[in-house]
Amino acid sequence: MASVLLALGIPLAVSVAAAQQQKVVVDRIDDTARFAALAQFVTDACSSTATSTDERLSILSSELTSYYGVYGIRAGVFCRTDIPMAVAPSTFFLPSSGEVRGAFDEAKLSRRSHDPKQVWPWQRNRLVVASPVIRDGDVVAVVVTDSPTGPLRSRILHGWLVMGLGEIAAMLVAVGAALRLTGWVLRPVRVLDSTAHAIASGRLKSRVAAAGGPPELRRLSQAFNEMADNVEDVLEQQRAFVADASHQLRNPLSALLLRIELLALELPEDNEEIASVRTEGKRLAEVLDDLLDLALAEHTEADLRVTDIGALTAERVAAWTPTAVAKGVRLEADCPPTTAWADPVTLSSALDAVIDNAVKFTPKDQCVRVTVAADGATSRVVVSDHGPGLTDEELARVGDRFWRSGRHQNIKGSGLGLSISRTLLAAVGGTISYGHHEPHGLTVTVSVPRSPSA
Amino acid sequence: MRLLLVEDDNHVAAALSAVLKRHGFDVTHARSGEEALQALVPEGGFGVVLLDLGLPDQDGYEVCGKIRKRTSTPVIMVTARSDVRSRIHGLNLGADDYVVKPYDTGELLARIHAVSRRTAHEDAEAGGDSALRLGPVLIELPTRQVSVDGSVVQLTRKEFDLLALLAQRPGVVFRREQIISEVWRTSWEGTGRTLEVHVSSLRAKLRMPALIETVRGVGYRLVAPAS
Repeated sequence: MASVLLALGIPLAVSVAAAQQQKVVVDRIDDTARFAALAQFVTDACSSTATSTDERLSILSSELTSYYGVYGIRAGVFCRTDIPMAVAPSTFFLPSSGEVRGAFDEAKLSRRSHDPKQVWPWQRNRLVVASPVIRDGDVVAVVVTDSPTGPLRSRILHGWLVMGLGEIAAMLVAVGAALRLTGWVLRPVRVLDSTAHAIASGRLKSRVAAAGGPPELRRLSQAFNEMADNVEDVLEQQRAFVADASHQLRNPLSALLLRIELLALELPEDNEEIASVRTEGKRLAEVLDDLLDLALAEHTEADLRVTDIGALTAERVAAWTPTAVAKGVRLEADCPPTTAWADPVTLSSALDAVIDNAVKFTPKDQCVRVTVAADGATSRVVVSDHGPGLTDEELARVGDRFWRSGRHQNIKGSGLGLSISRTLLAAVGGTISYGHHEPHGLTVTVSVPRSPSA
Repeated sequence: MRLLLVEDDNHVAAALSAVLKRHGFDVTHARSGEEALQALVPEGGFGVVLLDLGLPDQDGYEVCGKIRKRTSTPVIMVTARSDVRSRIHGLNLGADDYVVKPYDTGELLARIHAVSRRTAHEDAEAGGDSALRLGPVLIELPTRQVSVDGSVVQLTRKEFDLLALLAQRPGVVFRREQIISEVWRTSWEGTGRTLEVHVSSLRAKLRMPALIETVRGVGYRLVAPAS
């Protein structure tokens, strides 16, 4: 951009300077021509018999003097023999070399100096124009003007200044227009970016409002919305499939369990085989329940409100106490009133899975501790157990669907409980994290925001 | 006790009917809501309705509402829908209980007994009937006295509770774990022998060995003697 302006501007500047000079030169040529015409009739001024009373000579002299007085331009008429016929000011003389001499010599050859060297504002040289005085076809004298270039240079500078200002203005306009244009082009891109981020972080209902921007980007927005619709549909279908499958399997499984029950009635009461068949059947039922819960959890639409998670956690702990007591596990809770921005139903379900897990893995006569605390912008429920805990490697995997520690395959469960918690919490803007509990055991931290996020 | 089973899945219905019959219930099977409503009104006399919500002809909740309008028979919803909202909706519509498939047989039976007992108590309060008569046996609940053919039989506290429990629903099998929870107020383990001892002592004291029948693998029931 700047280089384009420079490439255009430099030749323009040169031509501005040339035009200014040309005007001055033409003026001077006119002036010298006028003086030449006057000098033409000053007859024998150059001869040795010259008299100083020639009337025409005195007119010429006075013209030259007034010319010098008005314009400050030194002018003089010199005979071929370098003798000044008339000069103003009187100190003006022909030097033996230099510009003035060059112009004089040229004019002696009957050539007008119509193309003097270009004057630049940073040069202090003068502008010399000479014109031959011709009588009867011979050059009898030469009119020389030697003008100062100050006014010319300042005119050139002025021209250049105007031009420079024009270029800066053009540049500003261009930059402004470019900013407006890029803003117009990029606005849909910014909207796309934030929507893509929203979808990536789970808000699948986010869509781009197609407005403004170039047609290509409007089409991109539409395509993006279609893609988002598709993604949502596919996820919805997957959810629906899991929900339907676990739903549809319930009837056959019910019939199967009932038949097992009937079979058990026919067999002696302590038949081990039928007991394990029954256990397997129930395990299958649990996995189905968890799958359905997970599918529902992914569908959760949170009803967020200010909730006292202290009271809520105390309630969940109370609900799990009988189970813990039956297992010989102590369930200790420290639940001061703590506010959080959460959906009570969803958070309860998430806590259920976490407490269930802790109670399940804690051996008899050990305790599970549940504490509620607030810390800055988040409220936390920390559930620590004294179970076998997990290795660092296992900590990275806990919460994955169907993942169960290889060491605990015999403890009943589907491996979906903590996945359900995580999914439920994600729906309400909460998080779940896992850590070691010293000396041994697992600490699960459920965090929920304290206030609605912007 | 008569049970109305409303279930469109024949496999489930057949298996459940078989199990319930083993437990001494008289099961009538209805495949649709319409069939269920027709069976309920003219015949009546059902102790409990087991209502599946996924019916072919109408919404299970509607059927529940209609049953509630026509009779006071307790309704247990048996359904594959496990979410809390469905349960709350069902209970609000007048269901007495809610069981999610696949259910534990013991739990289902316990719930059937629980809801029928509630209504039985209401009936008893309404009718003021505090004595149970089974042929020659008279059980007076307020005084905790039992007499056979007019002569008082001395029973221990647990023996009386056991007899009174079985006498609530003659013919219906009470599962061992249910008897133990209700009479001994404890859960299953380790009490099995005690129950057998009490049953044989009851049989001996009442001098009616056939009154309490053992149902193998399930529990006991009272067989009302022909008077």
